[in-house]
Amino acid sequence: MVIAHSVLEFFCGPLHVRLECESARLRERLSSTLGMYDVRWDPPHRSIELSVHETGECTPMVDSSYLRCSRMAVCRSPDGLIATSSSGGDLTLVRSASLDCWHMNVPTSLADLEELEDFLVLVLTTGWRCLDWIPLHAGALSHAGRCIIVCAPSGGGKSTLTAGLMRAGWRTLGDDKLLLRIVDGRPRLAAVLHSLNLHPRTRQWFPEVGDLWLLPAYSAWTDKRKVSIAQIWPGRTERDAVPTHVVRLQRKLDRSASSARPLGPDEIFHTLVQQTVVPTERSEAARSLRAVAQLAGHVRGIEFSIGENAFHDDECLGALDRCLQ
Amino acid sequence: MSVQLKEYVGMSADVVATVLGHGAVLLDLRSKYFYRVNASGWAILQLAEDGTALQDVKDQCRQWGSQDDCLIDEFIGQLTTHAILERRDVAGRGAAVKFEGPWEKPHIERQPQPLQRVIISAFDPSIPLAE
Repeated sequence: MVIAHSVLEFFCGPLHVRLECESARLRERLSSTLGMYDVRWDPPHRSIELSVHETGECTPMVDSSYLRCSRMAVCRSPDGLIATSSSGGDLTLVRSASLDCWHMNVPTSLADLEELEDFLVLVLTTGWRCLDWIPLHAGALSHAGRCIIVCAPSGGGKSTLTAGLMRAGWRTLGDDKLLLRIVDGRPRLAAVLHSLNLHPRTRQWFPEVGDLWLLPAYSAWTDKRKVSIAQIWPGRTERDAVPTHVVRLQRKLDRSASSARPLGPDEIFHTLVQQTVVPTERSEAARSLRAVAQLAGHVRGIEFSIGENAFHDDECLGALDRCLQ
Repeated sequence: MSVQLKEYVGMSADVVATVLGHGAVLLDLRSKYFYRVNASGWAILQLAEDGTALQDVKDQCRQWGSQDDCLIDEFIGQLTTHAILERRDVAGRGAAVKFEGPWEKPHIERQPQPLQRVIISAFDPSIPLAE
């Protein structure tokens, strides 16, 4: 984070975000989130200007013709996008060739500042898409010439598997936020933050994480804590990689042994496409699908099923390792 | 919906397609369902992308090796039933479509798992937790 003339500046992957916000409580929350993007990319960066104001007025929800999130609706406007939140906040984008100008109004009555996160994520993903980087809600690790993309829904075990593989010598690009770009027909992955979202009970398998209950919760919706990878597993991060495999993670409800099986081409595509947000707009949807299809055409796929409490046994990753050979 | 030989059909503006393997995958942005088409089906869809007459589709398919027009009718019928193809008033530019065969029965299959309509955030396409 860089502070200059009361404007806060952040680098979030290929974006340079300038945040202007008079409200201390909003500034603190937004800075905390933007500051998590700790992987500094080389220039050039696309400029993003975000001005945030508190207001006594609430904005009615717009239609969700572009995107519908649980607490946010987004539609196209002649200049860019308009988003509204369920609490009455609004966010407007005016886009030019070299700059995304965002204006956010937040009701003074808003108590749950987590809604701001939804707006921020929209700001960042829109900027990344503009630069042809497709956001992937997946983890990635590399080791010995291989790079796997770990796919599972939220709470599906991506972070725990990432931690387990790091202990086995793998390096990670992150456990749930990646950027994908197709360069000369070939997929490339890049990291934007080098932290893991770990549940405090992870300590039972990986004692080196320490007592995570002592760390502040980052969301009211989960007990997980944000953990710096460098502090626990130094030297285990990677900035970019060329993916070779997709691992679809399945959690088994019993304690049976882990197993792995190959995925077919269609299964690989559908696994990957479930890990990215596809806006309901033709050109952006087509671009996302094309990138995912090209990625699917360059990787092998594995479904890795892992039982409850499996990480007590060091051999639990053996099935995955053998399938990757 | 049955399409007459001289009627024009074109791909819906709510459908996007991309090449996958030897065929393609389609996404209906309204329903969020995916469809898989084989190589012959993808060739027909490209012919119809910006509007073409059914008769022209059949003529081209015969050149590619199709020997049964009924299979083309059946496939076009499936596409219109799923609203992937829609009636048009005029023909499009008729871009040349490259098909390298072998010709097989055109096939479309709707995939069982659609994209979520409501998601957690602009980064996370998972189903939101109940609040």
